[in-house]
Amino acid sequence: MNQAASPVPGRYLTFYLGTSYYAVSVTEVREVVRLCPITSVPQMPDYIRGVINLRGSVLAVLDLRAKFQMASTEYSDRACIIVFDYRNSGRVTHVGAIVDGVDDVVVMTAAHLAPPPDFAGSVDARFLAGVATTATRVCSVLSMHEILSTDSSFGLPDVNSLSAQESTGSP
Amino acid sequence: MGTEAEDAGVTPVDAMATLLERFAEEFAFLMPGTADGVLPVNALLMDLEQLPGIEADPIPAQAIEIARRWMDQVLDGDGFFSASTIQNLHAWHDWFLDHLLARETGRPIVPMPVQWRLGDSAVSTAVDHRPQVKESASAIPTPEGSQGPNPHFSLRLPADLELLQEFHIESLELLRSIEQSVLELESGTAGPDVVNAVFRAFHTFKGSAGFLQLEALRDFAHELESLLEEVRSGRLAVGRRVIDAILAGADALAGCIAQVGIQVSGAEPTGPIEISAGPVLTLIKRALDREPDADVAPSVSTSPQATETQPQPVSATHVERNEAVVRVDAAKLDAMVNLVGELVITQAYVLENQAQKASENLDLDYAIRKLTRITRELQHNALSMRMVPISGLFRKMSRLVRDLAASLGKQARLQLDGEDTELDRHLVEQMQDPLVHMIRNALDHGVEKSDQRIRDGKDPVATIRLSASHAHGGVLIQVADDGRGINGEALKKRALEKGLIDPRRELSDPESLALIFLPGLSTAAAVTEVSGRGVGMDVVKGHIEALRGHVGIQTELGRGTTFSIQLPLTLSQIDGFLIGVAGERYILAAAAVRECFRHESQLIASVHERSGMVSVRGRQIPLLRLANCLSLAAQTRRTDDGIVVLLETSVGTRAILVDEVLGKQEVIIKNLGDTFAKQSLITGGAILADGRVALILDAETLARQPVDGYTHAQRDLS
Repeated sequence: MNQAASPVPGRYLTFYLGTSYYAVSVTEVREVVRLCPITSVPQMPDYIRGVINLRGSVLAVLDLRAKFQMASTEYSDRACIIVFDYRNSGRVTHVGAIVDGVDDVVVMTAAHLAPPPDFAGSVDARFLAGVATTATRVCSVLSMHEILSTDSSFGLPDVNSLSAQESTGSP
Repeated sequence: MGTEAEDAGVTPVDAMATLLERFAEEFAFLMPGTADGVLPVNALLMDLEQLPGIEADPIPAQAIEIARRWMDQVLDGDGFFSASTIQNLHAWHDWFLDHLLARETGRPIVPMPVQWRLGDSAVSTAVDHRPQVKESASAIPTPEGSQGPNPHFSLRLPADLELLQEFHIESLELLRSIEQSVLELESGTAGPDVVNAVFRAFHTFKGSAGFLQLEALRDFAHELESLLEEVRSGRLAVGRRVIDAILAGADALAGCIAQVGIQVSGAEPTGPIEISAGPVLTLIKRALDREPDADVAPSVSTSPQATETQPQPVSATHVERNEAVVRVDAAKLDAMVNLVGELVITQAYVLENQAQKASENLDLDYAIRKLTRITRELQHNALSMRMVPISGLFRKMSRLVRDLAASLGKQARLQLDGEDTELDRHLVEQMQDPLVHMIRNALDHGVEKSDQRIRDGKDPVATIRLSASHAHGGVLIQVADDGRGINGEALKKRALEKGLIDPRRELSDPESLALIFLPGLSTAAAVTEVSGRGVGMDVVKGHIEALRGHVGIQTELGRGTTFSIQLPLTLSQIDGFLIGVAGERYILAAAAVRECFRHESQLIASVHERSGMVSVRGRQIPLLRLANCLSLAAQTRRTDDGIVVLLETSVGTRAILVDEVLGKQEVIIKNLGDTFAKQSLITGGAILADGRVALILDAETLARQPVDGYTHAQRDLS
C-alpha cells in the first residue's frame, strides 16, 4: 500500500460528503440516479441502507457516510445514488452508494493525480487510490472496488485506531 | 476412505465394485471436447488408488495405473476428454467389472487388452472386449488411410465464420437427435423411422461438411451414413455392434464439433482438428463384416408397454420444431423479462392514478384497459420464453439407464413420457442431480435381475418410466420402476434400530414410507438387503425443496415404486403472501402459510408471561414477533392488535405476529445480489405496484430464528 502508484489518468466523477470531496473513475460508474425509496434489509450492518428498484432490477445501496463512519445527516435535495459496476470473479454486480451530492466529471491528467498519502484521514487507507488536486479543490480518489469488496467482511476500520497510528507516527 | 471400508466390513473387491459403479454414473455424462466429469472421474480414480491393499492385487493395480495414465494425459493436456479417452475409459470400466465378476464366480480371468499396456491411449478398444482381444492383433483394413495418423480438417476462418457458427449449432442438434434415436433403436421399440432419422442426420452432417469443404469430416460422416444405409436397406440388422459403432461415431463427431465451437468462438486459434476416426472405423468394419451376434438388442417391438411410448412422433415433432427456433442469449432474455416486469408495474401505477380521471374520459378508459390486457399478455409471453422442454434432461437419463443397467448386469428400458412439457430453464438444470440419484436408486435397488424377474413372472426387461406433465399449476415429474417395491416395515425396523424414530409412535403406512427421506437411513440395506450404500434420499428431498417443490412416494411390494416430484413452473415467480410489519412490507411464500387470524388476547395471553407461545385449537405453537426479529422494534405497534400467521415448515408449525395482512399476489423474484448472499433470511426481492421493493422472507429460516424477540416487547409492556 505504501508503494502504491498514482491513480490512472482519465475522467473522474467527483462528489461530496459534507465538506469533503471525493473522486471515482468513471469506468467504475454506471449511472447516477435520484434518491428513491429504499427498502431496508434487516440484520445487515448500518451502512447497508437496503435495496432499491432500478428499472426492474433490485440492487443493494450503501451509505458512504456510514461506511466512512461520518456523522449521519438528513439527506438534502441534492443527495443521490451513484450506481457502480462491481466486477468480481467475472461477474458484474450493480451496487448503489448514497452521497450528499454529485459535483462534476473532470478530466484528470497525471499532473493532477498523486499516490495516497501515508495517512488517510477519516477514510480507511485501503479505500484510497490516491489524491487528485485540481485548480479548485483537493479530492480523495476512492477505489470503489476495495470499498465494495469489503462489504462481505463487515470489518470496518476503527477511526480511533487510525488516529492512534497517526499520533504514534509522530511522537 | 479406508476406514469407511473397514468399518462396514467391505472386502476390497466389494469396495472396488462400488467405486466402479460410481464410475459408470460419471461416465454417462462425459462429453468429448469438454471438461465435464474430469474432476469427479479423477477423484474416483484416486479413491480406487487409495483402497487399502490395492497395491498387493497385481491386476487391478495395473488397471488402475493404466487409467491413471490416461487421466494424467487429460489433466496434463487441455483438461478436456477426447472421444478416444472416453471410449477407452468405457472399455476399461467394462473390463474391470468383468474381471471382478470373473474372480468372484471363478470364471477364467480375461486378460487386459494388450494395447493398453503398450501405453498407446489412442488405440481403440471395443466396448465388447472378448472378440476385441482376438482381433486386436489382426490389422484392420480401413478406407481412407485410417491406419496412419487420424484424418483432420481445418476451418476457413474468418471467411466462413457465420456459416461455421450455423454448422456448429446445427451439428449439436443433429448429434443429440442421433444419440436419442440410437437409444430408441437399442430399446427395441423403434421402427424404420428411427433408422431413417439417424441416416438423415449423418447425411445432413455429410452435406454440411462437404459444403464447408471439411473433406475429412465429410468422408467420416460418409462412412457412418454407409453403415446406416445397410441397416436401412435391411441388409444389416440393428445389433449391439451397429449401435456401438453409431454411438462411437457420434462421440467422435461430437469431439470435432466441440473443437469447431471453440475455434469459432475465438477462444483458441484455428488449427487442424483431428477426427478420432480409427476406433470408429474399426467398429463400423466389424458391424458390417459380421453376422448379427447373440447379444442383439430386440429389434422388433415385442412388449405391449413398449408401443405406448411412440417414440417416432416425438422425434418427428422435435425435428419440425427446430426449424422455427431462434437462439437468444439467456442474459438478454432475462433482461427482457425484467423490463416487462417493470412495464407491468408502471402500467399498474398509471392505472391506479388515472382511474378517476378516466371515468370521465371513455376513450382514455378504453385505452388504459387495452394497455392492461396487452401488458399482461406480454408478461405471460416473456415468461414463457424462459421455458424449455424437459426433453434434453430426459435424454441424458436415457444414456444413464443404458450405461448403468449394463454395469449392474440388469436389463432395463427407459420409457419417456411428456418430454415436451416445458418448465423454467433453471429448474431443468437443477433437476439433473435429483433425477440421476432417483434413477440410480431405481436401477440399483428397485429393479431385480432378469432371472429373478422371470421367476416372479415379470418381463425380464425392467421398465423405468420417466414422465412429465402439467399438474396443480406446476409440473409433475414421476420416476416409476416396476421393480420389487419398498418394504415400509423394513424401513421402520431400520429406523428403529438406528434410533431415528420414537419406538412408542405408531406410524401409518405413508409415514413409514416417508422414513426413506430421513437422513442417515441407509435405505438400500434396509429394503433390498443389497449391500452398498443407499443414495441419500434426504439429499434428493432437500434439493427438490430448495426448488420450492415437493416429493412423494408410492410403492407396492413386488410391483414397483413411483416417486412423484411436484415443481413450480418457474423459479422466477412466487405466489406471494404480503404482510405489513412496522410500516415495511414483506412477502412470504403463500405455500408456506397455513392460516392467519386476528390475534385475540386470550389466545396469546401466555405471551405476556414471556412464554412466546400461542395457543391454537389447544396446541401451543411458538410465536415469533416479526418486528422484533427484523429489528424493527422502534416502530412496533403494541402486540395486542396484530395478526397471527401460521407457517408450515419442515421443523413444524410456527406462528409469526405481523401488523397486517395485505393480500396474495403473484410476484417476480429478483435476486438481491452478492451483498446479501451470506444470509438466508431474505431470499430475494419483489417489486410491488408502487415501484418499491418488498423483501421475500424465507419461512424455513424464520422458523429457526430464536423466539427470544419478546424481550423488547416485555420491556415496552412493563
